Amino acid sequence: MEEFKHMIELLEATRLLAVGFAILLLVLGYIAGRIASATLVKFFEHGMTVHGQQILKRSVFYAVFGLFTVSALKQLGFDLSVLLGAAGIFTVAIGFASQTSASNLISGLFLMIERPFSIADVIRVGETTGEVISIDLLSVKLRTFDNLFVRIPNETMIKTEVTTLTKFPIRRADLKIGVAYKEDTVRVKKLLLDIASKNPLCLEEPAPLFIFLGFGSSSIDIQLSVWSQRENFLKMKNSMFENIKQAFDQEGIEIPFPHVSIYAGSVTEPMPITAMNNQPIINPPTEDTK
Amino acid sequence: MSDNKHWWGDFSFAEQQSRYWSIGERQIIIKRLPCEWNTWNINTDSESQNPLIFGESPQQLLNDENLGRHLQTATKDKIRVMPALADRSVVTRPNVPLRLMAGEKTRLYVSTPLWFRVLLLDGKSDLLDVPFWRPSDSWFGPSTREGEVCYSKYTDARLQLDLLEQRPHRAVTPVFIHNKQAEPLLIERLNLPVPLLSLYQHSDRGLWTEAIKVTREEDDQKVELVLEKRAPQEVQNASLVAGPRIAKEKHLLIRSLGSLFS
Repeated sequence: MEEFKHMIELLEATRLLAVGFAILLLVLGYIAGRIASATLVKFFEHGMTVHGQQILKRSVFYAVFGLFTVSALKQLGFDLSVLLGAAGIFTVAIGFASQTSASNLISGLFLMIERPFSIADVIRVGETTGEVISIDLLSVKLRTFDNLFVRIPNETMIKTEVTTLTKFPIRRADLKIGVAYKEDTVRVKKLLLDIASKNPLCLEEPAPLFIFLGFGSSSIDIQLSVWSQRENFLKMKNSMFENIKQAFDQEGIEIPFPHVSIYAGSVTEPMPITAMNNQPIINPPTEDTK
Repeated sequence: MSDNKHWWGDFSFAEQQSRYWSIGERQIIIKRLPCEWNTWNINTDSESQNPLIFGESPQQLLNDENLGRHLQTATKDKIRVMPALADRSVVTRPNVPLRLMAGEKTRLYVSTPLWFRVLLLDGKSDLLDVPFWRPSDSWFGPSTREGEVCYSKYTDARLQLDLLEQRPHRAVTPVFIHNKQAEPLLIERLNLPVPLLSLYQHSDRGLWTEAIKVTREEDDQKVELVLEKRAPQEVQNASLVAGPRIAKEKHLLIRSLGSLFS
């Protein structure tokens, strides 16, 4: 009995009891927060986006856990008003020390409020394109299409240009096509628009756009802009290129590759050509040199 | 081979038996096996003008290319084949824009493509739901941000019934338009909400849907859209073949002008 009393006294003297209570409260807070957030999300699961669910889950968890932390601190004998005052000074110190994290944190809050994209959207940041897996306080996680996990700091997301590819239901594909100079562009235009109207994935409205880009180094450059449903985008683009190649081959329209003509110029001497008699020609001459 | 007008209805299959439905080269074949249904959906690029024929034991050699396999514990001997309208709205576009003069009314006939639908009798689940010829995708809406994905089709928008060609893979919808305003109504495109319509069959005139009545009120940008509950007056004794894809509660819909015409 004596020993037990001693033990209690010792615990009180070293405040171990309070510390134990505080730890217990923290653990309880963690568990309660988890349970509360999971239950609430389950309750509101229908009619909520994944993005909304995650925000709800986080805020409930942090609120519950925060309350338990405050009572744990009280248990330890901290005066909260003093603590808050100290926190001010502390924040400045921490702020300097962890500038990047703080900036990411604030950016994360802005991202959540602004919502330029939500979970499961496909976005492009710089060179990286991928599906958004989660939007966290410090970073946004993407899964690229070659199945890599990319973590992009929120600060970068706020500062740079972010393209959301899945915001609107339809998309336009700009197909760049070059045809030889000898071709009749009116005929080419008619053929291209015909291909577009025959492709069921290519939308009739908004109508396909035929743009004459200009005279390139070895081809007349054309852009055919066609619309498709977002989910059919790649399929439509592929099938259009396939159809165009087939139709051009059928109609005998040449798709040129870069040509180089060697011109000696009027000032320089003609190019010396040596005739090689009685020697077999390894590479037969092409039509241009005949 | 039979040239029957009813290519739909309940069909019974013995084990290993196959049946086909075809319009020219376009062919759909269904075969029953003990534990699975096999379907072949052979597409062609261009629409055929041939009549629809159906029968048993197709001549065509079957390969795995267009094969669909639908597994069941044990297949039953009957399936139901049904014609169906498109699963999205169809935007029809007269080859020349029409102007309906102030205070006038008109009745247009528009034909829209049909789908070939095969249902299992017990589970009511679809074995197959394919268009005879898939119409091109299109977008109907005020901008590229707002609107709906639909199908598109060019049409002559016939005014006289006699001029309308009867095709086995198309259904005719009569559209009655009444322009009560003091300005002419320009019809460049017409958005037909076909998933809300039913199919009726007439012994001579093929498949029809109920008529759509569109009234543009005097002082409003809204139009009133009424879907008649019965077969249209042109084919009065027609019988119901298939209900709408989307069941509607009201037969009166108020739509903005922009959602029907543009």
